[in-house]
Amino acid sequence: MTMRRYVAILLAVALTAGCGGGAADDDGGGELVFANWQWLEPGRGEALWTAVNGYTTADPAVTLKQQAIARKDYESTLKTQIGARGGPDLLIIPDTFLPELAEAGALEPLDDVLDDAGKAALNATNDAGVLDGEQVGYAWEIVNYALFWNTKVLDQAGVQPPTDFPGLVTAAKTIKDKTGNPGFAVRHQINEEAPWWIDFSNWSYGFGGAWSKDGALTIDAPGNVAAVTAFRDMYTSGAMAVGDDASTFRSKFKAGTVGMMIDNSSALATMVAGNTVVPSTGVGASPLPFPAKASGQAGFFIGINAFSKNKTAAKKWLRWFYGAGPQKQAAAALGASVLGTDTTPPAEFVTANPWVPTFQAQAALSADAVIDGFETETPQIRHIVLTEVEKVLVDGEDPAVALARAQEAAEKLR
Amino acid sequence: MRRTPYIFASAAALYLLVFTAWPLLDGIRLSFTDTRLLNPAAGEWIGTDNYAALLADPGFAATLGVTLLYSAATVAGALLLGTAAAVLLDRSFRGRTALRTLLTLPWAAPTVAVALIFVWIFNVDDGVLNAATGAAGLGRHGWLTAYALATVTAVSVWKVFPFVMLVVLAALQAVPRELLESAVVDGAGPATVFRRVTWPFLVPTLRVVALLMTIWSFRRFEIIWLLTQGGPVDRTTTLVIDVYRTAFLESDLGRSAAIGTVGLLLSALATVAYALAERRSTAKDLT
Repeated sequence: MTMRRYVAILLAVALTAGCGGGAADDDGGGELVFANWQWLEPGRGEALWTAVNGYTTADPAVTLKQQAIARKDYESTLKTQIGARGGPDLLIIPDTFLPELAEAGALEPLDDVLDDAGKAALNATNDAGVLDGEQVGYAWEIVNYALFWNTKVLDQAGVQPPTDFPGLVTAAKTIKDKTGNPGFAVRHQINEEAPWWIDFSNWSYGFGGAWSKDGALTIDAPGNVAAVTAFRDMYTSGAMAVGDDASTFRSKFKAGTVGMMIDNSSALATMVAGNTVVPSTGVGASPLPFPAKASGQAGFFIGINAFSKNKTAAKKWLRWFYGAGPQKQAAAALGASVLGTDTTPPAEFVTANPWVPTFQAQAALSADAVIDGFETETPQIRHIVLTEVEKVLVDGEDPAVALARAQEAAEKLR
Repeated sequence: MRRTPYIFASAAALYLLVFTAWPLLDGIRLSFTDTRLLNPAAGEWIGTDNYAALLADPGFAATLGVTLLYSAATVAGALLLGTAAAVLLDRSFRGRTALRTLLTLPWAAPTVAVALIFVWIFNVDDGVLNAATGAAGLGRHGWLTAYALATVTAVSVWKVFPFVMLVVLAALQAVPRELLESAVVDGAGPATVFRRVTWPFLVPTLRVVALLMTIWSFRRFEIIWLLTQGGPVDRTTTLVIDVYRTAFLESDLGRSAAIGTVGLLLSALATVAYALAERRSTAKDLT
């Protein structure tokens, strides 16, 4: 074979490879790739997929394909794919990630997707999906937080569910002393930075804090200092599962070896689903035992990748999903979450999971973890603040000094 | 037929060009831009701003310090443990083959599995290590919080020392037996035999291994990321962890590339140090 023929073959292969994939007609048919970490959640993932995949019956020209990414790696994986102008067609977007995607022009505007009736069915949670006057995401679910406990463990330790913060620490210590198991568990490490930030907002809001006010950062505000101080007191109490990441302490709760947790309703639903050791009826819940009534929330939105080759099909799917039938099925799968429409889970679900109303009631008092006025800088500020919180936990630094340092560093970002 | 060598060589050259040289040069180019991960096309040339920002950042100085400390401790630990194990396994004793296989396992085991197992071993409440120290009256400790860097280093040494052991073991086979026997006949004890006869034969091998281990330590990601992800308080944040975090969490590709370039310079410095040591050794041999 001559050199010329080698080159010709190489060129042919290269051209074939270049033209073969990706070219898709956006005629409303084809394969829609849907990214979500929840596909990996045992039980709930399958129920959600059934709800989502129902569309293929209504429109057989479309097939749906899961892109399941672990929650820990979700944002970084999508950033890489979308940065390379690829990625899924539909994606679930955590609220703290939404501004960054929108600013980069990675989200398709959705204002023309729903008709008037569809828009009328949406509730106020969708307002957070409007950025710079454009709807770039619809609410998939808003997940609230509460304190919950394993009734059996509390009975074994002879403690009552705490109603205030000193009571929480005392109860956790008693559980640890009496059972040898951690009395309390919550995220507390930078290695889970994105979800920890959302979890930590519970403490800040619960102690009357906030990260910004009137366009200025308020990281070192008294409420936040009180929150970090309380967090440190819990961390150093000797009763907390220190060093465990969420998957570890959730596994422990599932196995009946953790007394109390502050976590979201989705996590709890997954932990008790099909669990015979800690059945759903063996779990109690109450609002956070903090001075203010407020709590954090994790907001998740659905968006369409601006670089998708199947935007028409994705929009048709979205239009279908916000109809009454699919929303009802999604509500059954998502359980205690608040949906983008005022659809509630089936009554039998609430009966079987007595802790659900506590989480649902928190909806009116919860706020997301995106820093108002600093939406796109939230990831950097988050890293600065949580690193300082870690210094308080690990090095015993003074919370006020640490947050003052965080305030100064965060202000330099602009 | 005369062209055949060029065809084979060009395939390798093309591979290196596409997968090594071009990404390396493009990475250096990126370090002079403000490129963001989600919109790479919008990156603009900003000169040395990324490097100036790194120099002004005390956090980056700390990262450099952690990288050097981690690398030095890992290389020293692996060389010591690997050489000691090799010298031991060079002797003839019952069960030597089984022990060789056993000691090679850490190197062969998948890093992800190893890291996950160690996460459980170091678990504060349920970990085997705390159960042991607790039973021995030494208390329970937050191994991955209070002693994060030392713990991560120890796991790294455990993972990589078999490589040193295998290489040194091979080098020991090259030590002439007659020299060893002569030394023994002349009345030299085991320590003297090792120092005067074996050691000079091992030094060139150890030098190469040290260079490789140093470069690998600068680049090691999985063990640290899986055990601590750089925490707590950035105490185990090495350059590669910083590269990943800056690129994929903060989306700042330009700054991330600048950190990567600093890592590249460190590796180049290690290589220069190796070359100098090699030249000095050769010069000494000639005189």
